[in-house]
Amino acid sequence: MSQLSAYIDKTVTVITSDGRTLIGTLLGHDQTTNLILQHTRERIFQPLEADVESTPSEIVEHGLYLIRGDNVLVCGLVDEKLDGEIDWTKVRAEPFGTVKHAT
Amino acid sequence: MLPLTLLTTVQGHPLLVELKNGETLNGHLVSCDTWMNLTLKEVIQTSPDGDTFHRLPEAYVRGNNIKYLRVPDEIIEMVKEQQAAAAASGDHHRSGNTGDRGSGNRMRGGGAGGGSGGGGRGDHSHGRGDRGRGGGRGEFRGGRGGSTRGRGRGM
Repeated sequence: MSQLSAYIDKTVTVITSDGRTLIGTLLGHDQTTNLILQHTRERIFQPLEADVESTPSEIVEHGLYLIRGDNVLVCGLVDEKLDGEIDWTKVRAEPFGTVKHAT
Repeated sequence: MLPLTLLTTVQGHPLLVELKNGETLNGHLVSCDTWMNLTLKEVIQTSPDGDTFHRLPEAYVRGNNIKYLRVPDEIIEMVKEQQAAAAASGDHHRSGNTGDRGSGNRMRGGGAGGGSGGGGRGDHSHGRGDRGRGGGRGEFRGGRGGSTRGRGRGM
């Protein structure tokens, strides 16, 4: 069994099924992948054609979050040093597509 | 720390719930259960587009419709205090990840079922259901785990 508990108290990035990217400290989780995220912030990227000098990508603070497992696509460990070197307001990205469920 | 432990601590405090359809409910959490079903009071319901609002005196949310919950930052301190108090009083303090224990226990249960022959299967599935419900888990496990472990190994 793979272990999310290895990420406890570390910075993680969570991608949800509605296409949001959340970053925070993972405080807890359970069998159904419900997650507790502390100091949660959401990165809202400008599209590729946008000028990030005039309209930078946003980082929105959300605080303490409890994310229901149903909506979690990915929970990834963040390399904090590498992450800190990136100016995320200057990053552009295409939005994620929608989720397709197998029939 | 388990998400549902956190949620029970939020009872009596303000809470924002976003549902899978994008609606948000802002209110005070009255109660919750192990399926994340919630009852809220003094609720403001916001439509997915964010331009219509309704005030509801009370609301029930079926857990499976929840996308996420936003809770006050202070709650985390309250959970830690409660856990410390429980540990100090020598209660059945559960530390670490119950997910681990769950899987371990299931295997033991299988061992016991096999030992008692065909009838054991009925028992087995029954036992699982009990555990799944979660009430009084901690107590059950200590005793049972000890006794069935031997059998499991014997197989």
